[in-house]
Amino acid sequence: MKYLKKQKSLSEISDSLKRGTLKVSELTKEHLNRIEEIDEQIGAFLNVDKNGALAYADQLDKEIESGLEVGPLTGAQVSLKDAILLRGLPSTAGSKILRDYVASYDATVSERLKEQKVVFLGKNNMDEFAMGSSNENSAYKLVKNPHDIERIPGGSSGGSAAAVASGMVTFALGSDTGGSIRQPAAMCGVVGLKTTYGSVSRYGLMAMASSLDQIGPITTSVKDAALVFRAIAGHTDKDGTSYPNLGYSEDISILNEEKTKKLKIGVPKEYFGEGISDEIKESVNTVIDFYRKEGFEIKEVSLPSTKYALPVYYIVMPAEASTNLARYDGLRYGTRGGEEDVLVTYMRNRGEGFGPEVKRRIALGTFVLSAGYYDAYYLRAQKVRAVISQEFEKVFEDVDVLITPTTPTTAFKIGEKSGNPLEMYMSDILTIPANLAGIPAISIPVKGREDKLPIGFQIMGKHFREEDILSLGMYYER
Amino acid sequence: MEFDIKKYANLARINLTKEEEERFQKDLEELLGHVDELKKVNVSSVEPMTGGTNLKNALKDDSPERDELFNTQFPSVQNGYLKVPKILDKDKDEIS
Repeated sequence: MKYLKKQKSLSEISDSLKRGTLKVSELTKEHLNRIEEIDEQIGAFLNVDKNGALAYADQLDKEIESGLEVGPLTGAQVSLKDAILLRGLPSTAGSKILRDYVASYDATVSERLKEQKVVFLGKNNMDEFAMGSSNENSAYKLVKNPHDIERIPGGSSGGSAAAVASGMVTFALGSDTGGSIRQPAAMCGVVGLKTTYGSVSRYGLMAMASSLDQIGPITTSVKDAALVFRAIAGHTDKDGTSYPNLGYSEDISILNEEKTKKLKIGVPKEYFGEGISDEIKESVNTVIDFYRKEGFEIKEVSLPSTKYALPVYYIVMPAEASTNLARYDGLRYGTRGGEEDVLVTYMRNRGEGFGPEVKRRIALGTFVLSAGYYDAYYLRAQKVRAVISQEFEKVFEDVDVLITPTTPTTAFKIGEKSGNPLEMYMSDILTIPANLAGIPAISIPVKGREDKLPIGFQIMGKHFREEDILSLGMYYER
Repeated sequence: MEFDIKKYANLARINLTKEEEERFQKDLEELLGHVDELKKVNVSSVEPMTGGTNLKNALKDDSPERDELFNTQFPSVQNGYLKVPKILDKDKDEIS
């Protein structure tokens, strides 16, 4: 377990900065040393901005000395999944096709974190264009699970989850299209929040599937996830799917036990069925027992169309991805050969620049959108997506939140599933439904597994009710 | 099976190697077999969910923002503009 490290929470950092017992530059040096010490083995970073981080940390110390008010995220050591733009730093999304690309603007979330005075340490490794569940699809290098370096960390935000679990950063931002924040968080033993669709701006996130993608935090505690969520959520006119008037409470990170105990918990039986390991089921049942003993009302519920979520996802996602990735045409980014026919340029750049999983999904997406197949595949999938979404709405008339496992298994061995795409896709069967419905969901580590591989349980909530799932999570970790 | 990897890779403008063609054809046939499950769902009276929100017409000023860092991303530049190979050609007005 030498790759695991407990680190300071956000409130420990801000309290120490306020008291003057900690300097940001000390903290930054400590984290950069940690990266230097272990990241060669873990592979969580594609790019470390050592000089930029140290310079900004010094500047922050001076500002604090001259009276800057320390906020909840001030001085936090942060990394971003490489699909999220931070001006001036390379942003490859784990792909060779963007190997020379340097972001020329900030994502909205990067801007918001800059306002909060965090220190950016660098960019995290990921599955190429967020396509994968094990981080084995990065065009650059593997990420190893800090709990056992023969195992995958989950994906596609695998670098971000591994960086948090191994104490390299205070928190990281990832993106979640079908589970890419929650699944690696569960496998690395940290907290991952997929936010309500439309609550956090996607501006500056390289799009994979635009109707499903959301940015969210990966942290060591639910409380920290709440603090980061409060900082990054909010409307922007730069994203046409960003909701105005979100109305999140300022106190979303403060646990109100009395109010929390009124939440009605649903347990959907379909999430405990075939394909879910016994160890996972038993472990998540201990969490449900905990809430029962604490006096929460718990009810078994049913979401009968859950089994269709994976097939819907593997039509909608590649359809949107094939459209979004059309922009990587070899003309605007990266390197290009000599003056030649434009079609030759496209075919060669995309053939050489994209990895196998990306090519597979683009070809599939092109097929399901093509004349003659659109109705049979894409339109039908959109209708079944509506059915799945309506089932959630119906169940949420009865209960406030749903508790399920996050993943069907614990972290598997590197190479174990990489030869079989369908088997790999099954890793996300419990996380995909929340993306299809656009609802918020969080993965939280089950307690008491210190010497074992981590298991995460998932809490899903109603649209824009992050407060419910965060309070219930804080109740568990208090 | 109607799926032909060569046709769709070509439509998507992606060169594939022989090995990739064979592998993807097999992988995607298997996946399409799996998604055929959806034919069992009765969707006759269901409206499709076409996106993640029900927001309509989010408008904003469309003002271009570009600077040195933006321009340096281009693989080929002439007079500060992105230079691309000839796209329209009157002798060859169709790319198949």
